[in-house]
Amino acid sequence: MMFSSVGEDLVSQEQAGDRTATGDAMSFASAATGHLDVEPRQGSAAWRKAVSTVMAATSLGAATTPALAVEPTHFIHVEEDTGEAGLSLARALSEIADRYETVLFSYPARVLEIERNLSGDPVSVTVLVSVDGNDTVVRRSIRQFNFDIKPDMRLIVDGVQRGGIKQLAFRVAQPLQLDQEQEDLLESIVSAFKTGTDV
Amino acid sequence: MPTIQSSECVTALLIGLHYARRRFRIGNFFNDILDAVAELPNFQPFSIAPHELFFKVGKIKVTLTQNAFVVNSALTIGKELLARLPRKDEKYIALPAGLYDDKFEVHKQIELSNESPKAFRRSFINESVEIIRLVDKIVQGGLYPFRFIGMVEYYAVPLAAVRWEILERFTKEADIFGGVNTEKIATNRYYFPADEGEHEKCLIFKLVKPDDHKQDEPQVGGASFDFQLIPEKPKVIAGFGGPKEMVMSLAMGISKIIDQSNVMNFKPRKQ
Repeated sequence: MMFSSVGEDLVSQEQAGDRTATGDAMSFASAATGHLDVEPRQGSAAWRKAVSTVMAATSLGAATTPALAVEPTHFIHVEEDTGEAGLSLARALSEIADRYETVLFSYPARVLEIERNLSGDPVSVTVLVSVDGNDTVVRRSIRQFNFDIKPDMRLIVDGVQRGGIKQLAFRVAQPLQLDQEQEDLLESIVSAFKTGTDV
Repeated sequence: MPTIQSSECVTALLIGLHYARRRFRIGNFFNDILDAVAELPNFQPFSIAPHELFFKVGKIKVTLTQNAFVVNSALTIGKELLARLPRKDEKYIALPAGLYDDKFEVHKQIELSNESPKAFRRSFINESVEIIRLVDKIVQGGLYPFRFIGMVEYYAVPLAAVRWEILERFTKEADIFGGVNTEKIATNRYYFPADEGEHEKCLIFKLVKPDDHKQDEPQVGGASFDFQLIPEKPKVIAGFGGPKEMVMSLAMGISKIIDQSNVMNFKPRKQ
């Protein structure tokens, strides 16, 4: 995949051979090496290697690039905008978003355990949820998590209602602003659950 | 007629949010997303497939794939710019070919906007924020972590009305006696290391030259700025502070870099 906000379009163009001699270094490298999923971070060794690959590829490809490949200007038919369509779109979208999902409650949680299959892939996650001081453990399929789960990861559990369906939704918690006492208490609760002892 | 400001030359905008890895599960939510937006004004689906959802609503187009979530504006020409762009006749105006990505469909007709470029930018940002917020709610557990997020601004520069210094310098520096540099697109990439508590930044600046060796009349040049924020580790929307804060950090970041770069400095053309 290329490194452009536009997305995949230029990748497909480049795969089709529509690239310029001065063109897109990263995407050229990706297309040239076939590693469309891998994006080396700029400045890294992988990135420098990709750029050198590009330079080598460019010097080979430049001779085959037509000198007048791109049309200079494009005449487009224009029409007066009625101005109606976009007027209230943001407001309408906002109302739909507010209506779409009702968050009934939110509680802090922490990953206790990640169960894995024989291949080592995560299958389910056990989460400790702290509900107004009462701690409870829930276990959910890995499919319910849209992010990479790590042991001891801090989460927020939302009780959400979509249409008539109520369910739990998990998201990554931002770092909590806990003082040392609260931090110690949370640690002790988690370790107690892990070892099976009372707090 | 006073010299046009570069801010009046914005013709299109795009926001792209790129997942840290391919998310095939996004397809499970395409029907829910369509259900949510189908009755909004000007709704038009273009592609509904397991790997891609592409539709228009109001004046924005939305593309969801396994790799990215892209929102782009319509091609829009404000009145100030329109008065200065070359025209074939009343109904046709010239724009720099090769500037726009194919999401903008430059081969089709475009709308003249009654909005000022400032208002056009503001509505696009508001609409993008709300569509991102909606999709984030529909996708169970929220949208996936992003490897990087970006915003692109596309400018058309009416060279009959202004002298564009960077284009002139580029043309001059690349000059070879007896030959005309016919390369139409020059691309520069800039990397900005992360400051304390901030993200790494990247800017891809593309300059599109007109074919002025064929016609004596100055035509129209193009510039695009693709500004990206790259967190150290992939981040979900909440990690950026929410949809509004995320989009605003892109909008403010790109404006700041363009202003500081002096790339879009124009001088009045002597008549």
